[in-house]
Amino acid sequence: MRRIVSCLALLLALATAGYAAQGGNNKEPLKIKSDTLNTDNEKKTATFEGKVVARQGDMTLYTDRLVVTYSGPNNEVSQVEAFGNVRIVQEERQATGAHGIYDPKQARIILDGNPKVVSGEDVVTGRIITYYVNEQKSVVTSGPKERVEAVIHPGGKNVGAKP
Amino acid sequence: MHNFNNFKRFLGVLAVVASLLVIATIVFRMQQEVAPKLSVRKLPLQVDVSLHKFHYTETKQGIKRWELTADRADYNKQADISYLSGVQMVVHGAGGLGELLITADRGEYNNGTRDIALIGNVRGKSNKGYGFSAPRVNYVAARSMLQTSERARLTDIGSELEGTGMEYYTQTRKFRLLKDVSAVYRQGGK
Repeated sequence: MRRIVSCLALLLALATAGYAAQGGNNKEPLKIKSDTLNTDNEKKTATFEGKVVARQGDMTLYTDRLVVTYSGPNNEVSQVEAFGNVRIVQEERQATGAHGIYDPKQARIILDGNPKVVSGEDVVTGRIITYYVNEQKSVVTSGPKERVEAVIHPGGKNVGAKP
Repeated sequence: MHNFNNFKRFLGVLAVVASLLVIATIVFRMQQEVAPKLSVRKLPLQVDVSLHKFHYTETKQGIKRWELTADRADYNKQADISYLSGVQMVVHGAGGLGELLITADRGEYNNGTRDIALIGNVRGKSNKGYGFSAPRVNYVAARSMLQTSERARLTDIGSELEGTGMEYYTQTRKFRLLKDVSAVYRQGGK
């Protein structure tokens, strides 16, 4: 039992620690490409649609629709919300889900809609995957129908490597 | 007596001939005088009225919507279009959105529809800090919309947005970029 818990903790750390780079990246410019853009001055939102690709530092997000919310006198990005076929890639790590929210102020990424984190051959799934960027930790939450599942390969080639 | 009558006839003919000579001289001199030169510049073809320092204000229910100023406006009555040079357009925003100042090398103001084509080096700058630029922008009066099918660039505090094809609604300041969008957001607004 202790071994399973240790393995799970290791996997979670490995599977999501890659996004720790986000802590260093969140002052990097956020660059977005898409087919179309709609802005709403009242709501302070910019909605990118169609083959959206967003890059910040070495992290790249792909999705169908991305809503950037900004606020304050300097128009700081306060939230980035992705809808549909969300895929976050950093080096060999990849997180997917139907919906994702990045909150730069709280340095937190929340993925839901069958979220999955894949690092090499290791896979974690649950109802919601939340990654706290500054603490470099993640919480995988189970739901009534979606239990947390982890597939780990202790002897795999990624052991000891920081995903 | 006969000689006296001949002399009177001779004097009468002489008077008539002298009068004719005087009239002919006057007419000849009048024709010799040079016509005065026109003091105004000849208007180009297809221009019925040319105005300098043109200014037009569009209001709706007593509220200014936009103002159009040009160094010169040449009005073509047949086309009902004023061809403008040195164009400035000020769009007054509703609900405290501030003013948007647009400049262009030249423009075409359609008097019927009140649409304006802004052509050449079109730049918009708001007093709220954002702006745009494009080679050509049309103002569609019925929709209070600035529209272009060309590449447009928008800047705001902390962001730069580019795309091909733009629709910019001046009363709400909402805008759309229609394709090939690229955007950069800089944290800290720098």
